[in-house]
Amino acid sequence: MQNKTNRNSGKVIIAFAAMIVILFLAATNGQLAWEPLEKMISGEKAFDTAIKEVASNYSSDRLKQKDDSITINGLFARLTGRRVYNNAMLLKNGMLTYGVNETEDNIPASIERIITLSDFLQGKNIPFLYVQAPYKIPLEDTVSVTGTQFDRNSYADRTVTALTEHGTNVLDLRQYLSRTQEDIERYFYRTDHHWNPDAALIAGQYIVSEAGRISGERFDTACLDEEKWERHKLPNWWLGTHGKRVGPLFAGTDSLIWLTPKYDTKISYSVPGANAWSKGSFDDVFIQNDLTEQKDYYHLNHFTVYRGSEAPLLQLKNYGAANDKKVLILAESFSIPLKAYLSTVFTEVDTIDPRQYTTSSIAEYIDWCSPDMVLLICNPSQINNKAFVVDYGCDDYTAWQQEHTRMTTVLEAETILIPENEGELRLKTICENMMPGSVYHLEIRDIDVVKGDTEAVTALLLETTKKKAISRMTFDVDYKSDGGYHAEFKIPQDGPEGANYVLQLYAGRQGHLDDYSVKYSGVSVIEQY
Amino acid sequence: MLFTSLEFLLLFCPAFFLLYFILPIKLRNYWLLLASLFFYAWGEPVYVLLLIISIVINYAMALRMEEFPKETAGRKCIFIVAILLNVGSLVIFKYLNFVIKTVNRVIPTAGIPFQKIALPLGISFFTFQAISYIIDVYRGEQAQRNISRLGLYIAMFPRITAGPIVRYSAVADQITERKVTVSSFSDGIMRFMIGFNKKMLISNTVMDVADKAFQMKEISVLMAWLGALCYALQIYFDFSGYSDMAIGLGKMLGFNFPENFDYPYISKTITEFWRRWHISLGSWFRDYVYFPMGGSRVKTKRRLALNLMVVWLLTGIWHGANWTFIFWGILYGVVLIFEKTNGIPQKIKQWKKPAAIGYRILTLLLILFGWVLFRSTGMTKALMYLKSMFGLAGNAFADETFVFYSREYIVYILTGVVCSVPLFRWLKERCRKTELFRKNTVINTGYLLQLVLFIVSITMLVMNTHNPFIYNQF
Repeated sequence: MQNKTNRNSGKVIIAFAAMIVILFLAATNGQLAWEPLEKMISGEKAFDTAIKEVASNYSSDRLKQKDDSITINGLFARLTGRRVYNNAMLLKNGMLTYGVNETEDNIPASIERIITLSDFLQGKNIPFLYVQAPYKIPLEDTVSVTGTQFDRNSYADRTVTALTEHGTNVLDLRQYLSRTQEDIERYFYRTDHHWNPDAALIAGQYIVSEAGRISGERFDTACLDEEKWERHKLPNWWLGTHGKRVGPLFAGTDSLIWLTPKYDTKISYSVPGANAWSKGSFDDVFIQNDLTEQKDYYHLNHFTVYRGSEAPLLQLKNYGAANDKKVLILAESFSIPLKAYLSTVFTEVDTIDPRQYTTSSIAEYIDWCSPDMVLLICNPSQINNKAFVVDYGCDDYTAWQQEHTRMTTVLEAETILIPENEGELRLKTICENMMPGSVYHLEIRDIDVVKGDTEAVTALLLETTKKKAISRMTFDVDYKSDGGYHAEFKIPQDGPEGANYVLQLYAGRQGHLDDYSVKYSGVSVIEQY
Repeated sequence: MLFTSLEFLLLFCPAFFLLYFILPIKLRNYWLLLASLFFYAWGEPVYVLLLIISIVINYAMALRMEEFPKETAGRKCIFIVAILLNVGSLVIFKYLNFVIKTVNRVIPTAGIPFQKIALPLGISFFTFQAISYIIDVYRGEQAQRNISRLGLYIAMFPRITAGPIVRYSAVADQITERKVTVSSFSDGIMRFMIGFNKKMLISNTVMDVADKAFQMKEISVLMAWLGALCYALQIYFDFSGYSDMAIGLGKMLGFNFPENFDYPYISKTITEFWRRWHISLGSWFRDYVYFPMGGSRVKTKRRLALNLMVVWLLTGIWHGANWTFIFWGILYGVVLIFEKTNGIPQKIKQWKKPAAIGYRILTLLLILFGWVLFRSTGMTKALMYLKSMFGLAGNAFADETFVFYSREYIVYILTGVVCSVPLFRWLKERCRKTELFRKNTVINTGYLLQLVLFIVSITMLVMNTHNPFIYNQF
């Protein structure tokens, strides 16, 4: 008799505990269901739309227990011996990498595009260096789990071989940074696919050395010597791309590492598309202090502790560079610490993320910014990804140039004062009714801040009917490139009907105008059509 | 809506059960019916009308049939119309495009266009429920005069999408009068949790292996066997897990639905297998097709074979509009004819151990091969897969894919194999007199483990949001 009571009570308690778990989850996530259902009841949404939205809400990051679910799942997967879980794979050395492989072979298309770019740059006498970034599976592979060897190193091999045979300059960093298991344990994050800042610094040394060799110049790599950099570390601080999929209990966490120069620096930083600009020391400009102060495994990406991650276009200017060279880097997220380090070597470093840059073609940008060297950095985990097989626009731009040979000066002004009188707007339209398909070259001889202390000014291409910013350039007032300030603005061919494009100059940086007054001298706008 | 969905767990269940137990008893059935229609409409916002029409037509037909005395032409006529309407809707929604495809293949010049008809969720189940009701009324059972009660029988949410298929008489009394106690409610929750864990932790995981194996163009012998084994586990834990959840939900409402599975993989013969697998479907075909044709009480073995082949052909067809299902049914028909005509199920008890074990292994192998047919998307692929299992496709014996998958999923596969046999029942019998058992330590630890696994399963659900059941497609 006593057994039956005990059995019942044990089962009853556990059953009701399960019920409480469900009720707790339901109560804490009630909003996810209520929002669409409320709209359905009020007639705002149809039944089928509302129920789809409920399902979508429950599967989104809005679910309160999503992070805990990932953690518990990861632990359970590990306890049950799983190595591949939620598209992340645990290597034999305890590090994480991708758990899925691409099914398409995009390498031939990728090689073809890079060769086109290489030929284009050769035609313009601009040295080009293809940099093969290292990969988390070492060339001497001792870490892959049997049955899971993916082809990513072979993708890189094929690319390097094809480009070398073509005569393109190639620097294969895998030989130095991911040859052995010890390399990847030293130079890669445990839970992320990226290299760590230590690796990027060494990569910078190799790149600068190779850049010097192919350009016939000697660049001083001393500022990239490790003893000139301070290493900061926060242990068990973050989870990388793979780690966020499996939680901290599947393969552990990563320490956050960042390097800052011990020497003085003065750098300006501009992301024209986002109207982001700053100037200061390396630390001020690059280091995102909120990431060094906040720990959040699932909602912060600490790899981007260096600012400028995946900006379509980032422009860096170094006031203290030992040379006057301008480098254009074409790269995705692998460039994040690297471009910051290279900005301490070269006077100007522009970085384009080819996946995201849409203001013009890359070939056009190369022509406009006239770099002394172009670097293309590809990492093996993305090289076969269709999104990274980018058309650099070389052939189209060459054809465009052949068709658009006429140049007309549409504006020439010795002085433009903004505002001309107090109380007026702190911006001036200097060009109107700009022609679709044309490129407008803006040249400014001098910029003087007459009133206030703005360090940067904006030139903006605006579509006025929809009040949409098409492209933007931020000029560092204290920094002249080639003796002046210049920018190119391409008017879209396929804009909305009745579109009206204007070019505006600002007395300061757009959105940060305050009480400034700025004088532009020697302003000209030339239309190329 | 699926049982293994967050909408069901976090929205439907709390809202439904809270209101269910707040409402006065006489209103609960109406709420249950309304909620069941809402449950169905969630997944099928258009086809819920089909369900409602099915309820109304079967209700009306049964009442009309009852107006005629038994053995009269009028009663028979309405009966035939009702059956044709039910079967007709199944044919249109489930088999029409298959018929068109087959006709076009046989007569290439026919060129009949495919129809854009989606398969309503659970149509095979609720249609069979309706047919079962019509036949029972035809045979003399009293028709239900309350349409909501009939609606509840056909559309009750615990059973609508994948059974178990029960006779109306089995639940009629429970619809009108049932009791929920703390104990039965707890039993229901525990049963639901067990089913949920089976689906999420075992079925959904070994599915990765099965899916990989069945999509490989070149597969090694061992990988083919591993894939077949994993599919056998996947389908068992998927369907039995669903049935556990359905039975558990029923218990929470005071219903006692019949068991649908009884450890089918321990069967000694194929005959026994079909008494342990999808019991409600087997019972349905037995009661409404096999017995009316004479069953095994026929004069000749030829007639017995015919009866069995008709049942198994229909069973195969019921499962899906594809030749693989039909051949799967025929395969079982042939084996069952062999067993029945040779008295195997009775004789095996007298066999020596090696022979009995050998036949048991053969039974398991036949079941496994049957699942290969069942899983394959076409006969060519099925045959190729079977050939691969025996190295007859020019394939390697083992490969790295096998090494990886067997190592990666070993815990889940072994757990699935262990849970496929009544080990815990056996242990319970052996330990009944021990101190630990008498103090319920072992049992309560088991329940606690289920709760922990339930929480893990919910987190898995959060990660993998879409978890359809295999038998939902029927």
